[in-house]
Amino acid sequence: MSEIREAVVLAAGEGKRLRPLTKYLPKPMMPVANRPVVDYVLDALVESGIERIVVVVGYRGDRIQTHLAATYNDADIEFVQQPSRLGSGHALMQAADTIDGDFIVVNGDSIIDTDIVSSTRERYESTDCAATVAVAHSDTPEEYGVVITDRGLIADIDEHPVEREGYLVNAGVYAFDSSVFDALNRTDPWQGEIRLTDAIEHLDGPVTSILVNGGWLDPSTPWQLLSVSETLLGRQYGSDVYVADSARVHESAVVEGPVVIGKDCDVGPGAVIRPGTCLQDNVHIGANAVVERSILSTDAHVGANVLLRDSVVGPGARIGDCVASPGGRADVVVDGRLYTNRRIGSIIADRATVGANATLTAGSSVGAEATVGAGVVVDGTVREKSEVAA
Amino acid sequence: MCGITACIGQDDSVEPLLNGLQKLEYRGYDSAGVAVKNGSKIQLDKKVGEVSELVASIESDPISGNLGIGHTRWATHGGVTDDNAHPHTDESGRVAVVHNGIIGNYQSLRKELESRGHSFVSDTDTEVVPHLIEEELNNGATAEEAFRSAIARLSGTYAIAAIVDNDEAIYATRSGSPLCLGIGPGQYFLASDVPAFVQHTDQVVYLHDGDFVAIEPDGYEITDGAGRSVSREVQRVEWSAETASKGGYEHFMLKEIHEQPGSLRNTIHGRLNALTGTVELDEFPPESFADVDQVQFVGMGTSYHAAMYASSMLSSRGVPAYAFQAGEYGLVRPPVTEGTLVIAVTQSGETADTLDAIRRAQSAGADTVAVTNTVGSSVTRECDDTLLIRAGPEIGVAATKTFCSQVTALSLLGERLVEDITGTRTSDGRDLVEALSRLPGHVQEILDTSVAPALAQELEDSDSYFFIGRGIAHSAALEGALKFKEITYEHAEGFAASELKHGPLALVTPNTPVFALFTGFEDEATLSSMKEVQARGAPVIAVTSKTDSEIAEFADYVLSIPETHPDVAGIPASVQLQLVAYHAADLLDRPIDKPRNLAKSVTVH
Repeated sequence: MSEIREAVVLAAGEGKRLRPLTKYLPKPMMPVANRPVVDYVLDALVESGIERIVVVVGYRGDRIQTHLAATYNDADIEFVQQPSRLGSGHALMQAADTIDGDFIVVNGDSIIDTDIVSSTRERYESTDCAATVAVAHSDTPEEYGVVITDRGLIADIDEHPVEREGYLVNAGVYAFDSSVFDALNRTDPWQGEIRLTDAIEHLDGPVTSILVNGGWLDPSTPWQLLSVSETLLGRQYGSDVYVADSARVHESAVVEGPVVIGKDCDVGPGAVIRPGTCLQDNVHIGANAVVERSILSTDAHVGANVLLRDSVVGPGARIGDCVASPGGRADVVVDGRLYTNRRIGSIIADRATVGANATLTAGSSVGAEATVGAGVVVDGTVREKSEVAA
Repeated sequence: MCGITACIGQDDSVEPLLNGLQKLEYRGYDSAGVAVKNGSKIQLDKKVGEVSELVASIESDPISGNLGIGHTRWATHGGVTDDNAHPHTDESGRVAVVHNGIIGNYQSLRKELESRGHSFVSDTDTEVVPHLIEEELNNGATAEEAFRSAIARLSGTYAIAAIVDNDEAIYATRSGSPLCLGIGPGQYFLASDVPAFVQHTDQVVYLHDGDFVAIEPDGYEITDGAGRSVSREVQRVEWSAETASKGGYEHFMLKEIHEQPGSLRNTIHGRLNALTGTVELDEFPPESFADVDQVQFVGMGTSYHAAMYASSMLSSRGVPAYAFQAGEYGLVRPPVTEGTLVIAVTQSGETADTLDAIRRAQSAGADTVAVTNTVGSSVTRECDDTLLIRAGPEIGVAATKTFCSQVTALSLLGERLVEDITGTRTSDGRDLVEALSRLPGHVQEILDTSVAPALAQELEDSDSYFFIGRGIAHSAALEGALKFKEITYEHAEGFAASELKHGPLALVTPNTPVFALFTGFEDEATLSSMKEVQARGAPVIAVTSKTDSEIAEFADYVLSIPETHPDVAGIPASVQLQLVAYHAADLLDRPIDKPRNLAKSVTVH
């Protein structure tokens, strides 16, 4: 068993449960504490000593390519395309020709830390096994696939458990040798998808597990995006306020950390930016606006006297004066499933426009490039590119 | 226009030389060659074609040596043949030389050398150099003395590197062509441009005209023409090796098109104050241009189109402004007074015609400003002041992100000029600042939503492609046509929309698509022009933000751009046209990053 130097990052999926935010931006590019999710993954790989990284891209892959090529320009990164979304196993197969030797596989759309990669690698290198799978505790195992372990070995992975047999789930970090590609070739599709977890059953040899905790965070719904961002903001900044050099915060504005304010932002007079808020680059906050525990993406424009709480504003979206998105708790349907009593304000996708004095109730969403007229009360979903007038 | 490299150290130089040449292929790719010294003898390999041909040749018949020189050629004197490929040698093969530039007096030198019995194998200007060096060596000069004496005989523009057998050094000098020195751990490098060696070191010295440099395995020395030591600052470059990779895109051009939201963010970063609606340039505080009464822009190719764009913006705001093709500037000889500001627009900062124009303007008493992408380039040293466009390295021969960043940087500079020269702020300054601040997001919107790939397919196999616009959109139309012709090899032309019925309309047929650019300025008039060509059966493509207007209704196809200030709208429109050109060229399977006969920056006349 050789030392692991290479890793494959699976970053071809959309992240449907984050719609409408994923219309133009895939889940690996979602901003968490002002950095895309995939940056945390690449940091963990680079810091744990991985020397070469193959990124499998598909849905809106150009956004990931352009970002990573500019951000990790010292790293040895190669991109391969997964032309159609046929499962995680199919995604990994696209990288078969670019890998020689043993390697790490990670999901590019959930956050991991260096320890997870290092401990998976160490467990794999120190045991005589065909693969190692990182497992973690989860409150919602039905969303991830339950892992059944037996004395440190993986006995079974159930992607869609009917019962919550255990609380250990697949954290999406693996170590393999090249025999995984043969196993993938022997794996039958399930509902049209070749799943990496199914291929693990076809490996010739035992599969070890490693329990990891804390460092694995999956922002897979809008409210998780907000809570994961808040968690990482607290970890990185405590109760500090970070303001980029070129950002301008009016002297009468109030900023309460943890808050991060990106390049070329401007925060108007009397505005209040409350904890858990992230402004990406070139965000405008109007006079006397109040923003709390919200994510404002690049180029977002927030008018005067706006109230935003627990909300996510996509790139280039424009929120008119006196709009209220007061937040709260709501029952939300995401990707066909009902989630009850979630803490969520509103989601305003890329380049949507919300007219002055509109109200966005808890759990509402405005699709990309949609227009909400002045004074409209949005309670539910506004479809992309549509117009809603009072 | 060519690229030169050199490498010396304890380790083998062949691989760094070949890697370097591949990074310099944007400067030319007609032929490539290297000469290395192994023990005492010089070995040479050179081939017509791209550097990959040379690599294959060396793989099958390896050469090695701890010091060597390399060259990738864009032919000027003499055809594309193995004999005309560099490096060039004397008859005995004792001396090998690579050269970028043009030696003006080579014919008289060649006659003179031939009269003394030298025989030449190439048609190049360069070949006189190794023969001159050889003569000096035969007269008992050291290698360094011989190199200096030979260079003293030359007139013209050049960056030259030479090696001599039995000598453990590389000698080089520059005059009018770029040359930089890379200081690596255990190896020293010379190259026309930094990407050639940036994977080995980020420590760089930008040599000045007239500098001589000798590099040895364990050191370097820079001297002037008289042999006196000169000290030049060692700078750390921020480009990393990987910046010059394709990042998963099929071509550099597509990668660079997609980089535009980021490169435009860099261009405007820290330069706009949205709260006050003003432009703040550290380089040019208020009153910087209080003494200026007219502005002349000079540039070539895409940079000329950016210059035209800027000159239209200034004129419409009350500043006397003119744009000149830099190559014509010295011939037209526009009057220059003490109040004349000449702005040189050049991506590389090494464009020979533009540097000439600047020198002429300076000798006539003008102040000069460089607007360029390249830190430490010749134009930044020759002009009084510099505004960097900060677009990052551009490898594709067809300029994309640098055009948009040039126009953006010139718009920022324009605001300062208008205020200083007219004494009042422009009435729409706040709107313009707002539009520039939103520009990166607007360009992202185009990248997210463009229908250019499908449109390129629809328009395939047309006879010609025309581009029309008014005001700043005229410049954008010319740039759209240039982009299209240079990478597709199809006939493409841009016109002022008003010019159509004075001649070009005769070219319009049902098989000549016409791209009409609408910016919100004089759209009615452009709509009439569109209808004129449509009446002749030409398919029309409207580039417009008014997707539910009469314009869209009449157009056969629409490329939509976000609604913005009319003077900024030319930038998103250009991005749409870049995408159309790219996809049209891709359908034709053209070598998009290296179009035939072209090179990225033209450092010869």
